[in-house]
Amino acid sequence: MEPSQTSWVEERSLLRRDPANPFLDVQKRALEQFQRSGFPGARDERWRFTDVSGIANGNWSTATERAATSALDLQLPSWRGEGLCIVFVDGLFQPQWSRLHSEDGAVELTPFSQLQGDLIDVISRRMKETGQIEDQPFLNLNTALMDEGVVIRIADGVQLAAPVTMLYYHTAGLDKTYHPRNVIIMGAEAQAAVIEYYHAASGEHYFRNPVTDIHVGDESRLRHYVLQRESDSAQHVSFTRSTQGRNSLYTRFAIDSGAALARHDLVVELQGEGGEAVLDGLYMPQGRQHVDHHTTVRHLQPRTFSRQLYKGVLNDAAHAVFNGRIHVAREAQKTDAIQYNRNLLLSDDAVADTQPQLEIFADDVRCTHGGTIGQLYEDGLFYLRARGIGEETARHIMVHAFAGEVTDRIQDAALRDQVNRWVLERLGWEE
Amino acid sequence: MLTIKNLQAGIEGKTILKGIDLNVKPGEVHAIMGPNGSGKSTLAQVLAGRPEYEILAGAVDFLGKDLLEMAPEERAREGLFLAFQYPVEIPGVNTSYFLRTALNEIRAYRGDTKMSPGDFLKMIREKLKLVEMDAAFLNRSVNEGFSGGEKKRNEVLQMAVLQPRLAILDETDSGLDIDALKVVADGVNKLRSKDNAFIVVTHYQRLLNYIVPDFVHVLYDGRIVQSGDKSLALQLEANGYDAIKTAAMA
Ligand SMILES: Nc1ncnc2c1ncn2[C@@H]1O[C@H](COP(=O)(O)OP(=O)(O)OP(=O)(O)O)[C@@H](O)[C@H]1O
Ligand SMILES: [Mg+2]
Repeated sequence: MEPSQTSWVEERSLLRRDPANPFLDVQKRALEQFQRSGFPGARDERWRFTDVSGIANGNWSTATERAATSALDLQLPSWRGEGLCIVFVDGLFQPQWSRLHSEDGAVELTPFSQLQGDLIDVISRRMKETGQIEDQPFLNLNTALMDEGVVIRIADGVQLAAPVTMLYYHTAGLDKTYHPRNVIIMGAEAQAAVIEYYHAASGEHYFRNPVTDIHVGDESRLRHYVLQRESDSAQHVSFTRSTQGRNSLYTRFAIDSGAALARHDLVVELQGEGGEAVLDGLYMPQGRQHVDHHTTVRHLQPRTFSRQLYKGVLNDAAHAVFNGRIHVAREAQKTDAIQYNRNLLLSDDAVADTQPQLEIFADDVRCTHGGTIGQLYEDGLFYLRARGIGEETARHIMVHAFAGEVTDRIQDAALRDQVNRWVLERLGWEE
Repeated sequence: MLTIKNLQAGIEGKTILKGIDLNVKPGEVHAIMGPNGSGKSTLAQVLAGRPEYEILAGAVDFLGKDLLEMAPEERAREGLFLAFQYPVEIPGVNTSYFLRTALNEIRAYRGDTKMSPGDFLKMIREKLKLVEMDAAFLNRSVNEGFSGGEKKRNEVLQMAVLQPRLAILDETDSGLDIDALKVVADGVNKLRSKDNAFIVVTHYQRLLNYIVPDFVHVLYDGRIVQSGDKSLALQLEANGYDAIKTAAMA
């Protein structure tokens, strides 16, 4: 580790040494851990395809004040619907655009800057526990430098119809860094959808480092959408943890269509018998964009199920990485784990690296994984053209169908339509 | 209508077609037979414009135009149709949408207006009857999960919808039961006219009882080694390809 690499981190962490900060201990520990590891380099196995030296050596602005939001003509996205939402602009909580409480009090959104009482203890405990996950330098970085974020509490038995939305916008300022923290705590037998949206109104260079920490209680169902639409020059490195109770269902859809570099680490822990995780991803890098998904699914109890389908449409000189680690504990009998990563390379210069990693200690388990696509696409393309369909239209149909396998599964209709429009837009086929 | 002269083609550095000559006139039906691996599908795919194949020599004229210069979609719009030996499954693409898009692109090329969804539905229902397919297929993804026979019927359905001038059927009879075979043959015979022509690739004389050919050709090792009338098919059925193989080796 080069000492210079972490100097901006230390400098920044000093700004948070306010004695009134309730998370001071956790943050100090995280900083120590981070300092021990430093930023990962090419020799770290889990980072050998993803170069974060641009972040480590970044000339990040130390300005703490944020852009004046009055200047911003912020249009809340129409797919947001009628649900609760919390809005952050340039790192600052925006009460005027946020709706934090449901009328019956069953759901509550609390910005980190307004945490009080027992919620602080709950969050501290959770942070300590999550902080024990090893080899996650950017989790530690987020904890050490945590700036804003939200705690979403969903009580037992709550059935939320409309999704809860978190909107993180970047609107102005060069070389900023953001370290938002989201905590979603769901009770038992509840049902909800949560959307995380990262977006920029300009093409500037900044670094966003979000951490989302989720617990899905017994018999609960959570639909989680992560929409990464950062500026094309941004760096986005996220960490997500989801722990799941008995017979719970965590359904996730993640789309990447922005950022020069996007890296996502996801850790799913199936801690209760009968828990299920359905993890879908779609990424569409182009130019020299780099997107990297590292997933870890830990089957810790019997009759747990996980299914991953990550699909990529790569253009130009884009690079995509998928590393899926499936861990099945000895006691997790009758486990079913399926993992697919399929990439469609639309250019000879695009590169996709896929690495499945199976760690299976139980003996009554089904695990499968799948590979890439190429010939299927060419065959389909020729079939359509042989019927008189022009080459452009044929490509359009094939790619849209390829992405549709994941986007069609989005249960929230307004969001599904929006995602389909983004897919077309990304491919240059706006209609 | 179709004139092939000394066509040589290959793939991945391997020459498969070693000089094909064939002349197809409007109203004619040509059957092409020959042992496995002799190049029948290669010929069909090359005519349809599959980009992976490399043209090494020769010329193909289709309705007065240089076929080999055209993109696959242009060939289709000019009236060429290939019923694939192995129809491609395309998950996520609705059959009805696919057929309507293809038809409308061909119509646009010919200067016709787009067919309205209502008219399309009326037309497609008629065609479905012709090949005895259920309308439920229209809402499924193209060929996905179709049985072998259903895929072949779907090829004939597409042919009936697109109304080509020249249709090449690559083993459309393989894997069909006797009833399905009649359905496919009926579909072809309904389309037969003095303006249209067919090239029927088959291994079985049986199909030729239903679709009676004007000419039968034997393709062997990338060349047409024998041509005759429909009696040649009967002769091959009785004696196999041994005589042809021996003659070719001599
Ligand atoms: N992509 C390819 N690479 C190498 N060889 C190929 C390729 N495609 C076809 N061939 C070869 O070309 C030859 C002709 O194949 P083709 O499919 O045209 O035969 P066919 O006459 O249609 O046979 P069948 O009666 O079995 O359908 C075969 O030897 C085949 O293995
Ligand atoms: Mg063949």
